[in-house]
Amino acid sequence: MNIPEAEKLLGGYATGTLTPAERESLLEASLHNQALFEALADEEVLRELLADPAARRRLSATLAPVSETLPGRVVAALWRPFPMAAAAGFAAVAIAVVLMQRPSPVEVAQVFAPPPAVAVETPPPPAVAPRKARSVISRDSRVLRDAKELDQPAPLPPPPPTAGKPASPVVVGALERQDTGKAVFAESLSKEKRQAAADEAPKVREEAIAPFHWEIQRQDGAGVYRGVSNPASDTTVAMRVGESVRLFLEARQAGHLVVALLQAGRPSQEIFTRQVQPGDRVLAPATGSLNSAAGERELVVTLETAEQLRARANSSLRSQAPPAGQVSRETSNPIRIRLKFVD
Amino acid sequence: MEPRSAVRYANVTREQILTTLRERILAYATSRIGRDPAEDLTQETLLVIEEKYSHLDAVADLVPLSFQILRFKIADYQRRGVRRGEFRTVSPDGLDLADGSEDAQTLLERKELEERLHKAMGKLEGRCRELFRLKLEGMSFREIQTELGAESINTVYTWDLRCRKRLLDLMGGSWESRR
Repeated sequence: MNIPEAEKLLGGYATGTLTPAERESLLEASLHNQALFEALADEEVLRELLADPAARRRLSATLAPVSETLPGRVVAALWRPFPMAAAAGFAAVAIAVVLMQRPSPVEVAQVFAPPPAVAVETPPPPAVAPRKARSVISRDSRVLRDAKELDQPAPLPPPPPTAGKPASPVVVGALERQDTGKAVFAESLSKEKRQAAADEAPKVREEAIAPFHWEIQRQDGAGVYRGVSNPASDTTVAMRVGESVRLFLEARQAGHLVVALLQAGRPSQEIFTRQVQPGDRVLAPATGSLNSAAGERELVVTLETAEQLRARANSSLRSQAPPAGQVSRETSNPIRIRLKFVD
Repeated sequence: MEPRSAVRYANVTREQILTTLRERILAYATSRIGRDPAEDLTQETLLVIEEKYSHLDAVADLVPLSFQILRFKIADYQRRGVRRGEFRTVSPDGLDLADGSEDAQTLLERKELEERLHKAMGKLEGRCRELFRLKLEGMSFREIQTELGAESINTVYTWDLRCRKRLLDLMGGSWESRR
């Protein structure tokens, strides 16, 4: 084996990735090349570290697929072509709406300056409908802040400053058509936004208050654990009997993290309990996987801050023990995840 | 990849391997700690191999063993150098390999390396991230080829070489921190 070929194997030495044949080729080549020998000698410190299974496991957890974490999934989703195009389109529409609703009566009069004779015959100001439509447009930007506000009749805006400078019938007709078009467009846009706001609100609230991110992971054929559930919506996850399943958690605040396992006919069992800091990633169970026999199980995940722990300790001195079958930890943030193992 | 080295080294004696190894070790140690102490450390390293590992005669055993002994020797030399006045009072016990129980400084250095690796690996993206993850999970290059859908194993070797370089760059060019 020549030296450049052997150099390509260098990265596999410390991680133990090489087959015996590859390893022997690399080591033999190092005896013939000082640079390669020195590079390998420098790898020794890394090899020693990675020989420790615990360190290896911790580093491997660092490299868990980005898409498994919620922020990573959001970033990855945003960087795909379709969401990017949709976002750009939405931004363009928003800009267009803002530009269209900007009142500029003086400019209109200047562009379509009517001859004096026609201006005398100007009919009364336009009907209410376009004005109402314009008011809807002006409120459109506030839809996401308070969707209910649109359900109430919109008050009429003050009349535009056109007094003393009446527009021609041609100009008024054009304005009416423009306003009607805007009203229809804005109406449909408002409905879409209102629906989107209603759909998004619970998720946003859930993300805002959840003290940790969780995900059920399943081992695939290659022995790699991959996420199978969407924390924002799934609380019941179906699994097959015999599958290796575990719970992945990422703390968003400091506190005491507890994962309890509930199973029909059995007392609750704490399968994980540890102090965590924001950003800590843990697995429950810490090693291996959950019991995957047929049946239903429930994982109750609780992250209590020091203040909550103290408050619970004080209140438990005064209160009675919880009824049988209930989780003993009553806090504001337990998340319950149901696992159904079926054949 | 064929294990040609096994064939090539079939008739090479242990003495020939150690002779070549001595040259490599001396050059490496000289580049790290200077010529005079390098001579001593090289001699000590070969002495340990000769006295404690005389039963080993394969390249695949002797070379990694020399890396390990040499690393201990250099680290020990550097630590003693820090403590002024103690450098010349070396105990003959220093010739021995560590007994497996690690001292606090070694543990501290390892922890520091792990933290630096943790930070650097966190900055890896895309294929490199996935490649290192699979390596840490114990997959061979052949398995990684299948997992990542690479056309040939040489492609995986090349990816790994580049990713290793990227990781080294993120760590400042060396696995060990420079003080």
